[in-house]
Amino acid sequence: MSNSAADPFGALLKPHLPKLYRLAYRLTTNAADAEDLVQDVLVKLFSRKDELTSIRDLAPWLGRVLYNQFIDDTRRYGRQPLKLVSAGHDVDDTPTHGADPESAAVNANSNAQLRKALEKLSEDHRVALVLHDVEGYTIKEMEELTGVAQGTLKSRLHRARQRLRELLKIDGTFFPKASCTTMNGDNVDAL
Amino acid sequence: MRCNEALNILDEYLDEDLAFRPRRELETHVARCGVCQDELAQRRELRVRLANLAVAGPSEDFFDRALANAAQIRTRRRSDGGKVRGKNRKFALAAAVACAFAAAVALQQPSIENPFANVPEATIAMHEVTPVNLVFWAERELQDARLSIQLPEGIELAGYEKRSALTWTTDLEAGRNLLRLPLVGHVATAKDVTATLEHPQGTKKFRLKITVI
Repeated sequence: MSNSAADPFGALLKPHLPKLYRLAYRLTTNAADAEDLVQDVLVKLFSRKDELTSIRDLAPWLGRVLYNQFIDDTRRYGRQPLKLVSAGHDVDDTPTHGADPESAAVNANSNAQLRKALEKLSEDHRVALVLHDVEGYTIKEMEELTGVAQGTLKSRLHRARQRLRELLKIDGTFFPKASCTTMNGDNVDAL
Repeated sequence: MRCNEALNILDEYLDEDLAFRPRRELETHVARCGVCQDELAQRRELRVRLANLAVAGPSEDFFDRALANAAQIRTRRRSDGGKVRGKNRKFALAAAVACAFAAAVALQQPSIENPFANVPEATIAMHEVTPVNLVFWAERELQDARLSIQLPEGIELAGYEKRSALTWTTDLEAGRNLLRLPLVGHVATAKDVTATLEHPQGTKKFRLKITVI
């Protein structure tokens, strides 16, 4: 790209693009949509290029613009709020019981299964979980990014984690059902 | 501390959000409870795996191209008076696709199909998220079908609170396609949730009678 004198827009924004793309990828869950989203944001920003230099803390501001664009796109163009999945490959598949421990361990380590489970979360839950547990945003940073109140975000995060665990249980990936016992075998409480 | 109390605060513990006393109580419980130890270890492991989920990188030179395109696209949009759609947001409908659909609902056991029932019924518990599954059967792959869900008063989709309708574009694979509706009922009622599927050959509407108890 050209130098900052010839292209101040590019010079100002380029350092932020990897982080923006990463956020876009987390929100959209795939590279192609992430590129579209970043491109849309840049197009929008280009018309405000004179304003950009006066923004004090550009990185979080850009994150908010991107998030808002994502929400707009979801509402206007219908990124799928609920996913249709092939019934033959969904959680309805009966988990294979009696699989050997090695296969179970391979399954447990499959990031593909984790991604699949994440995609089955509702949009709000997935975004909350991905921002917090994947990208490491604090609740306060999430509030600044999304404009959603901290209490709501905490509640979404709680439900998202719960749902993700349920999905992984159904897939047989994590969290086998068990009764709760003490180390010496005495019953402590029913789960 | 009992196990169910411990399990309820494990995530806060991992977030380091617990005050001293509940943290100490939890640690005491976990130290003597093998299952809660396992649960804590699994949740820790899940956190680590989530934090390490890779990001697929953008295509080559994407950042440079995107910056260069920004000015160009902006100018084009002004002259077109419209939005330039991304390459992945297809609106071209698949031509001449022969389709047939059946719908069914089932609670928790989603593979049950009942295409012959006039109005499939499901009962859900109030204030609890209950997955109600709608199965669409398509004779062949169908791209860019428009799917709408209409919700009656008192019934919501979890994650989409206060929305009485959702519409989006989706693709159907040949065969059975599952749509999971995480429904939440807020009042005791028995009303229809409607799913409408629009495609080039026509429109199909499905009604599901949801009873909230």
